[in-house]
Amino acid sequence: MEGEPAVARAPTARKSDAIVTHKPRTDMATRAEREKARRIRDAQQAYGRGKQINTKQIKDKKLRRNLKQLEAKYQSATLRAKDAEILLENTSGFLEAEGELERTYKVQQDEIVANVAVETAKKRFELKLDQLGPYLCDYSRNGRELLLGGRKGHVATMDWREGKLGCEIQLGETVRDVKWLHNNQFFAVAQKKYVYIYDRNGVEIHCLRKHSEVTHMEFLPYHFLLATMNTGGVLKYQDTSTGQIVAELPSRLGPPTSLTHNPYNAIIHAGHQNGTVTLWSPNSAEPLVKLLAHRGPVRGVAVDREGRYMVSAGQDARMAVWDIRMFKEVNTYSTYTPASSLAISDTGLTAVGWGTSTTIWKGLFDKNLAEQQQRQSHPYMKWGREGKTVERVRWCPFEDVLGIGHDKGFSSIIVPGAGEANFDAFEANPFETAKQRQETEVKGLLNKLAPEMIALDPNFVGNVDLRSDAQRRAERDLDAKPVDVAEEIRNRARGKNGALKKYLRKQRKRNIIDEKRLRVDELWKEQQKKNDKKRKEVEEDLGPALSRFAKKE
Amino acid sequence: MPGRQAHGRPLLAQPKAKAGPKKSKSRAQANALNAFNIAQERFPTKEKKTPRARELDAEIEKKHARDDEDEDEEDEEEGPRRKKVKAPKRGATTDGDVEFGSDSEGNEWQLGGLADDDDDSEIESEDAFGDSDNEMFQGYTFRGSKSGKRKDDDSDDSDDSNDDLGETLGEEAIDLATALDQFEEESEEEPEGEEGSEEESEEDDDSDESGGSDDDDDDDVEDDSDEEADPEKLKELKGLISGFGGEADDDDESSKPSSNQQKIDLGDLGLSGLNDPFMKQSVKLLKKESKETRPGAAKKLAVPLSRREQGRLDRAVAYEKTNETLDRWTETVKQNRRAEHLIFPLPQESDSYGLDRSELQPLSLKSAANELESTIMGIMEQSGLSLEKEKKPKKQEFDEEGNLLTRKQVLERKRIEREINSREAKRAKRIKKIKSKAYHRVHRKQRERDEMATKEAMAEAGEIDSEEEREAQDRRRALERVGQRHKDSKWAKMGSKAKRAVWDDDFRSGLTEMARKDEELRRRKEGKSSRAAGDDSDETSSSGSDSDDDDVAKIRRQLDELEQDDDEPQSRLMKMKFMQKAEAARKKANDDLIQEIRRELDGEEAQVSADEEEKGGEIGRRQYGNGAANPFSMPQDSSSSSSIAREAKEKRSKEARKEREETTSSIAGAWSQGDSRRKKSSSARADDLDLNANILTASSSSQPSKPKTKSSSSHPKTPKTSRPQNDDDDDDGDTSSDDDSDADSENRLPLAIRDKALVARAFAGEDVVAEFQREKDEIAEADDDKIIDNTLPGWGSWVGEGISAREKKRHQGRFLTKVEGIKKKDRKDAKLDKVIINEKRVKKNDRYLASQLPFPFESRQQYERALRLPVGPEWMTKETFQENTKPRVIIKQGIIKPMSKPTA
Repeated sequence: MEGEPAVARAPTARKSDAIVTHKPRTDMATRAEREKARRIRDAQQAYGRGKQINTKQIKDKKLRRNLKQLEAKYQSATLRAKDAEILLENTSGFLEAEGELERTYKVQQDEIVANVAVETAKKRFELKLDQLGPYLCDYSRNGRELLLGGRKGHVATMDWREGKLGCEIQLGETVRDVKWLHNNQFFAVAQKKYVYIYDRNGVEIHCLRKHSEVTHMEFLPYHFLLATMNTGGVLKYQDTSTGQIVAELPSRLGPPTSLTHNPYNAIIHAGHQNGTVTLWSPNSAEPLVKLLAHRGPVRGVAVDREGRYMVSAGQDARMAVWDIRMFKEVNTYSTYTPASSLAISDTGLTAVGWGTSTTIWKGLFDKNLAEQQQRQSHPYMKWGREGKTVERVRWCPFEDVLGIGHDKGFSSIIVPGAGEANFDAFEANPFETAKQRQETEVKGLLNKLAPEMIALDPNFVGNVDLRSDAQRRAERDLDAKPVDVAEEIRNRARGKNGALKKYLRKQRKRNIIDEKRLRVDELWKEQQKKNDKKRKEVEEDLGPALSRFAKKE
Repeated sequence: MPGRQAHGRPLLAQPKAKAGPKKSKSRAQANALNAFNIAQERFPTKEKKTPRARELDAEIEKKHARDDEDEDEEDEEEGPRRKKVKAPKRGATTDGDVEFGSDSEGNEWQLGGLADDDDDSEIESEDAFGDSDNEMFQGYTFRGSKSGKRKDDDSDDSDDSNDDLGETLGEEAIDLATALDQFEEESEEEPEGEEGSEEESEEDDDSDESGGSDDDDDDDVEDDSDEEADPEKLKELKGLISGFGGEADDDDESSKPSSNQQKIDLGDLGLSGLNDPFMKQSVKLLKKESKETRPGAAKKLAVPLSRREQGRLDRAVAYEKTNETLDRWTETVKQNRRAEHLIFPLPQESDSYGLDRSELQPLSLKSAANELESTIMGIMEQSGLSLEKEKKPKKQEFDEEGNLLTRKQVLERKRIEREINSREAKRAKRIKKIKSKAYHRVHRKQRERDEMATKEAMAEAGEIDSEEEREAQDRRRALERVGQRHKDSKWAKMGSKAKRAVWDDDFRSGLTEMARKDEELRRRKEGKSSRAAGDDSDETSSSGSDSDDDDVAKIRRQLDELEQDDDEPQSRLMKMKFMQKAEAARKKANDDLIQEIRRELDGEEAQVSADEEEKGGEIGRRQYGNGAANPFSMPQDSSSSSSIAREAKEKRSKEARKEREETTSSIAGAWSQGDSRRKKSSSARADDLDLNANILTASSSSQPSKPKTKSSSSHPKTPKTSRPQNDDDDDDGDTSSDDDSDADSENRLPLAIRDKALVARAFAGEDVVAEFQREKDEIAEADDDKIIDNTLPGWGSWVGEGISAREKKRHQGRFLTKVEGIKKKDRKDAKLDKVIINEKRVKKNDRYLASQLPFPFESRQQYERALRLPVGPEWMTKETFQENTKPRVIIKQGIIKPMSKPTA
């Protein structure tokens, strides 16, 4: 009886086994051609921008030619990008165990310091600041400067490589969070009541009274948005270039327990008391996504550089790895005690601060694998057990350095392979001069993205609106006030003397004939007539000889 | 001619009575009176016409066609101007004319002129007409005398678009017959018509041509040919031509080889007085032909087309030709238009175009292009640095005595060697085969015996299972084996051949898997005897021979054969020493093998005989019994009932296990499973349950376990029953999710955390999972399709107090509208149990969407693809960026050669 299903299954099993998947090479491609195809494929995989379109099906000749040219451009661009890899001269390496028995996490910082170059060894340092409570830390975007904020009001900036102190201020107030803005010139501090912005010399520049009792802050560098979340659970976006509040979104989930942003699409991830992580954009009053990551409060959230994976740690002593493109949980790990802070480096190392120690995990996720199956059994590195309760961990960009803020000060430890080895000076230049910094700032402001461009898929800009006509009609606000053209014109034309003229001229340049345009034409004619009449009067006054000097308008 | 114009206008307006042929005659005469006019027409001054004048020509033509009398006046007016130029010629012609007094006025001289001509004297009026009608047609197409006009109408009325057709046909038209009759009369007028025509053609030419001088020449030529009939005029003409510098003469002959000229040439050449009979005959023929007067008769050459028609044809051809030459450029133009970048001077115009400069060819003495290269190559050669490789000396072969062998001999030797090798090798193979067969057969018996003994022993001890069970197990194992990869499978062979293990991760993992499975199967097999192998050999033996004796005999026979094989007749080659040596060695080895087999066979026989002595003839029966008992013993086995029971038990336990596996595999996290179950229960209940969660019941096996049906409509008890099981599952999930490697780290955890159930309890108070699920359901419900009741109370029914509930109900749901939402199954998070994805559209993002597909694109994909090409330097290499921002036309400094003319 038991054998029957087995028998039934047998033939198929045999069949599948018997067929050896050996595909004979039928194409007549030469080695060079195959090589070329392979090169293209590799480049496409690494630098391609989406699927190619089939140009052969296009009927319109001109369009076909244009799109063929376009495809050729895409291809040459990818190939060149691939070829340009040769310019990425620095490679990142990790600690590697020599035998089965050796463990990389057993390696102590002393050993590393003893074995690395002097210049690198300098990057390992400790700051003993045991008076002013647990320290928060933040690195500037290019990794040059460090911002430290003690709970009890001590805020300091420093060029950590040179050990040069930028400014040091005692605020005399609880400091809840510190954050660099777009460069090392400004930083925001969430204090007891409000958020303040200071310049690099520690001079208070702004007091953001609209952000009260903020516990967490994030800065979106491409949008120049400072996102804060306060004890009431309200998420506020403020444009730091214009000073406007862009959005105020109540989460209705109580005080947040963690906050981070996705560098890929500028979505804010907030962890809450009830174990959920919510994803926010300033354009939606409700969270775009809500996921239940933990049973207890979410203590730490971090998103990887490419926006593919999120790691969250909760009070339930669990650490979950999520694929945030599909919103699927990939893996869960356990932490010994509930984690306090999380950070993911450029190369995908995940630092977890918990209790008095920090664990660094490698390979929690791998974008090149289709299925994130394997679980890491051992962490990559460990630090701690020195009685220093970890408050915050942050990776230093472009460096193999992890900064740990704890209750006894700040520790900078060396983690081989953590930083991006090849920096892009267009993006963030660790060696930038003052001039370059200024230029970057101007360029950044010119290229500033509008907050409306924030969405889960940042590539949506320019796509075709796929709503049906019925849908659009249904969504049209029928109760909306009809636009009063006259009113609008009057408003627009307010101001200086030439404003109306300028406005009318601009409107007349538009090639759309609608109600507005007709009205504008009318106005224009009226104005012309008035001007003519005025001129004639003036001319008459001046008499025949002098009339030529009448002012023309 | 502005003067003309001025006069013509008012006169044009006057109604003119159209004159018949007679009248035209008189008019023509009147016309002829105006000698100046005629002269002017014959030898026109080349007068430049202003565009304005050209415009006016059309009107003039009209006027000429109808008002001939006006023409006189006009001519008179014109006369004085031209008189000065043409006066001398005029005088000469008028002298001849005076002889004919009968005819009045201007016509006379022309008539006389015709009569004077010796050739033309013979020609009748009709003929004369025919000769000169080339010219006439030209004239008639436009206007002139009436006859000319008529002719024109007859022959090609389509041509004279300027003529008012209706009028001319109405008053002046005559049919062809009358026209022919009138020939004689009209012959007088004809010259006049000619005049008119000439004048007209003059004007026409001027208007047609674009100021070219060639046409003017042609006109002159025509004039010439016209007058060649008259010897006197001929002389005059010659004088005129000489004035032109002889150019016209050449033009004349080349451009107008008309029949008219031919005829005249004959006469002029003085061929009429020839003595040669042949020539005479041909001349006669020619004359005869020329005398052919009927208009329809076949002429040597067709009538040349009218000037206008000719012009049109010429233009058409010219147009085609021009097109052809211009079409050559189309491809070039197209290419340049399509080119993304154009660089001037064009690269294809440069001298080095087409040379491949990307690669340097290796230089050799032969490929040296210039002197320098060749000298350098020569020097290098001399100094022994030649780049060409020397040829390798050929390997030469020698035989044993050291004689040089030819290539053929070498080949022969090789072949022989191969042959010998193969023969011995073949023999060795055969021996080996026999050996293996013999070996198996010989040893099978003993194996069987051993097996039986052990089995009996085990059966006595009660260790082994019943027959059926064993068989079932064996079958299962076999099936497993069938399904898996093994060492001898094609897959493995192919893999090892291609050395896939080196580079293919999949293959490597497959190999390890194979090894693991192999090991597992082996282990499983260990508990048992190798029955399967025994069976195999059994089958082969049964198919081969009946008894062992036969086997042995057969093997012996084969061995004998092989031994005999040795003394095969040997070839000549085998007499060679080295061959014999090798042969001997190989033979020895083979013989040894044979000997060994023999020995083995002998020994076996001895043993078998000993066995036989012991057990008598039992062997055969036992053998049969073994095979036959298996299939039949199963149903009648005494222990069958117990075995079935056991089987059932086994099955049940297995099922249970399987189910557990299933559940655990589906649970990723510890809590998710419990939640998915719990979502069906009400939240209040769930809370209670959660508190009970730690009560672990080991009832999972005792429960009549069902596969997960997930029917939401199951009765309210289901959550209760499923809950304990879930907890059980949770535990399982924990252990299984933490792999072996993780197990130790798990063990090191604090006790409280190690126990997941306890953790679950720790956070059980708020029950976030159920909360989350409820929220998700609510959202899904809110987003789902909605049915709205639009019924207005009181509309078509009574409302107010005293209306029964039934009545109220009746009017409910009369006007329902459905609002489309997002169906639960279509939600993005439908399959994600711990995620809520907001399905509402983000309206602010719409600002950046294209409201419709932009024009040239045919599909969204095309458009969006076109949009994705980055433009900034941040997203691409510098090279790409520069290429993308390169201007379309780049002009380099220096002389820019024009594009070369495309060929073909």
